[in-house]
Amino acid sequence: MISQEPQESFAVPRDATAPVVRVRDLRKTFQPRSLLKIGQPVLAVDGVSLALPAGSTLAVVGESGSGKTTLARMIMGVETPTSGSIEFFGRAQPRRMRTRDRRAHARVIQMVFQNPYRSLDPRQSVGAAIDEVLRLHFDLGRQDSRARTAELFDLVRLSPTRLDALPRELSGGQRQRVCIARALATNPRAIILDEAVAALDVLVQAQVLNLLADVQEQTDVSYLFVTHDLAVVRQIADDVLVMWSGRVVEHGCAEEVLDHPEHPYTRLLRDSVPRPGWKPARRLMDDGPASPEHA
Amino acid sequence: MSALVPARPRLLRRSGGGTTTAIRCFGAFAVLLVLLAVCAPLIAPQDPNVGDVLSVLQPPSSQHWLGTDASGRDLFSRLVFGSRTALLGPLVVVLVATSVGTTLGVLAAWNRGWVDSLIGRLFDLVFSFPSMLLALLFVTVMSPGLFSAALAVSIAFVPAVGRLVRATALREVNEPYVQALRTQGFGPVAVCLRHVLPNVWPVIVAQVTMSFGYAMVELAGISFLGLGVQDPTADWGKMINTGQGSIVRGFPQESLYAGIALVLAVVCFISLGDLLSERRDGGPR
Repeated sequence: MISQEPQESFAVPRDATAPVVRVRDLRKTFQPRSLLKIGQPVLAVDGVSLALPAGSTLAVVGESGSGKTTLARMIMGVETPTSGSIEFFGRAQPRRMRTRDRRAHARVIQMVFQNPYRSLDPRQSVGAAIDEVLRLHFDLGRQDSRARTAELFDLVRLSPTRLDALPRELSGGQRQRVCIARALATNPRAIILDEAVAALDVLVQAQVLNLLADVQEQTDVSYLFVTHDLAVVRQIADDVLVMWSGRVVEHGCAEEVLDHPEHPYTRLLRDSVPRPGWKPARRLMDDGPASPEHA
Repeated sequence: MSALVPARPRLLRRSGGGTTTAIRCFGAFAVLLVLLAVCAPLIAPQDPNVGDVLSVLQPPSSQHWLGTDASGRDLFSRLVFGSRTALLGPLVVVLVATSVGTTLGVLAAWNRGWVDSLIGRLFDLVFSFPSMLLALLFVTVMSPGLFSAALAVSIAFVPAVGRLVRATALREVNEPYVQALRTQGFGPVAVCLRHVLPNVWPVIVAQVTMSFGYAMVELAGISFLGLGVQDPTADWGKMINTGQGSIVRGFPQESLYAGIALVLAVVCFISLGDLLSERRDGGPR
């Protein structure tokens, strides 16, 4: 429970050349909650390791239930890992995150949640939501904070006239951009985007992806892109990590993996993307206990 | 594009639909009652507590608009002044019960686990007593009077508020926006006060209005039994009681008027609460 780390533990990198995030052999089992503790524990993430260097984009792909969101939530400190370690610039994440740890953590890594409709307080204007984050992390006066909020709005190409709007007065794409602006507010070194564009239509999706690329160019931020959409992966990712039932089945350069997938599951994922002349194939692999190596 | 929605101050934004005519009517009546209580000395034609032994149980006249009671006191003036205790008592109940109930409800929803169980059992315990019995026990242990009666009813009302707030807060606490705030490093108190509470607020407002009406009935009941407001202060519940003696002598006015006043006020607040909660349920989320 007691962490000996000083207050600003995450803010000062122990090793600036180390990757922003390094995950080693991360494991998470969910114990079924029942009175008699009957039922098999669910192994959601099984020995995942990854490294996210500064200024790069890593895509984590896999179908629903493959453990990619649990992985993201553990890195974010929302879920406690069963075993394994997570490091930020070579500094380990405490096992139990207290408010102070979270605050320091938020200056290194931020997350854009899956659902843009529900990750903003419905009764708070979007400008106030960002303003609040700025004032929590920085010693800013009212004027400065407001100016910075407007700047962030500009960065995600939202009109400053929308600052006083409530989330429900905005479209899905606009809301997601507010969430991205909020994630950028602390000048983080990495952002986790959990299916951040999945709920958006293709036009808005392209806009948001371009925007993310621009921001990366300007600020050298890293992205951990959790998605099931291989087209998105091709457009944005440097590296890709393919997950299947909690395990990493393929890991490498995005182009390489997408053009010449080695693992049958990656091939299946790739071939399941609709394209001209595409016919839906029957599943080559089933969800049974068979390991993907022998499929 | 839904642009150019004029921004209103945050507190005025309610999630539900519009304000209906019914809400306006009941609301206006409630405001009227409050004005009556506040301006009682200006409205009442006579001192409500001083009687004239020579003019007991008089029928309505130009001097005594609603007649006099068995002690020769002006009934209209007593009715007007009675609105003060009728509103003050429930106000205390609602303030105490809502603040305690909301605090416990949010605490239970936020912490879950054993805190939730403990608070839940506590609510069950209080809830299992008939509220009138609980209040009577409390008042006999304390000394009879408006404030001990109000405090007693507050205790009985805490579980109802607490359970409602807990259920609503539990839904909010599980929303991703609360998680997003936590990952930013906002403390639990800040998240609860600045985000969870404003989102639970419409539910609380509806519950408060309704509790106000029920508290009025409970307090009138305690006064009727002689454990609430003490002589010579005017109070509707007590007037119903003291008027009983005159009914058999053919003068039902005192009990009748006080009863009518009580029913009107209670119906007004309960209906208002009902309409407010309907509006919340019907509104978009």
